[in-house]
Amino acid sequence: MALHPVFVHFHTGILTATAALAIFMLIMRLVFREGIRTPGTRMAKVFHEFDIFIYWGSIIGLIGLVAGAITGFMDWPMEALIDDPYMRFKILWSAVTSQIYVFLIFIRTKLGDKVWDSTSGFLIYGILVIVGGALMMIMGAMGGIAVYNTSILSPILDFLGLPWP
Amino acid sequence: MRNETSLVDIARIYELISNMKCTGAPKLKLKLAKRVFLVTCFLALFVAGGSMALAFPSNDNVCSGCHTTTDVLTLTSNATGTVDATVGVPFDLDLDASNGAGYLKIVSTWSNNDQFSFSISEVEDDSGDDTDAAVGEIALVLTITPLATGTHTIEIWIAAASQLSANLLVTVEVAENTDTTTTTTTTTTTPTEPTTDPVETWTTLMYLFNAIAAVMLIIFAVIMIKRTK
Repeated sequence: MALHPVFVHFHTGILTATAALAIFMLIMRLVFREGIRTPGTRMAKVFHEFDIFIYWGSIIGLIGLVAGAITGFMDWPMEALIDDPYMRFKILWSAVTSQIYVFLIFIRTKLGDKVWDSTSGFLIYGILVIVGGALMMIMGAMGGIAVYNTSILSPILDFLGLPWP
Repeated sequence: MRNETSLVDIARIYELISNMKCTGAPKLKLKLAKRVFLVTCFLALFVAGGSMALAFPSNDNVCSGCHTTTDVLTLTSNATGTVDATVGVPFDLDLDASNGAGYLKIVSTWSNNDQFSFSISEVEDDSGDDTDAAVGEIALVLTITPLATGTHTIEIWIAAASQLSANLLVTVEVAENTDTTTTTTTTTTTPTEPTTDPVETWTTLMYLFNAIAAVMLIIFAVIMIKRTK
């Protein structure tokens, strides 16, 4: 039995969920500015909980991402993987995405929730969470295409000319 | 519908366990039972995820490269011995795959497949091209047109989940077409495009994109740390 499918769905869901929350948090932060984090308010509590979810989601997601990569290489020979454009794309962007999540975890661990203080800080942090989630979604779709020959994202991927190279 | 029912059943069982009131030692057992129930549910999901593993039908390697078990699935044809054919004249081959076949595939790079034109190169079990409605069985009539004279081998593979695969080799003796009245020769000149190896490009990008990402993320980290008091 192939191990890879067991290890790919859970963290993909978590990481795309963190991206969805990051979109919400970015909008809230831009609309309400510092007011969103006024201590004692319900909005601040929600904002804080979302921030915690993104942090732990990124940690769990990165572990899942590494596990998914390892099981992928265990299940199929490397030459078969690089022969397939979808797998090439997944391997390439999995490596880049892993770097993004290592950065996000490092910066959030070091700065705490102060990542949401400065404009440059929260924009970099929030946008990278969204980019990471979007990449996970695209890679998940490509896994779906490799297995089922189709995905709900196929029209978008075709429009973008992906996978490449 | 079946899944919905199963979920409702699971929810009912959990509710029953939760509502049971016991004291002392039985309470401890009940706590353990709840945990065992939840762990079992989690494991069931885990196994269900694993069972969804299928093939990579878009791959061009022979199936045995990944699907290493080659003695379970069966693939047969109506060809007995060497098939006699003529260049440009199509002939039919009845194919029958069973014992759990998920995909049937013909790739031009296998054996002498590039010496033929095939009416279809990929068939999924129970798809529109599969004339056998049974799950795990594929049947089709493959129309093959020889492109060049000589003795050629056609290689066909079938594969399924759980590492299963099987292949069929059909030898075809292709004679020259002497019927000149039906043969038309069309010469088309296609402009030659410079070919780039996608794997080579990908290898370069692996280094390039990861290096760019690393540098950018280090710069971002420095900016964020400096600007956050």
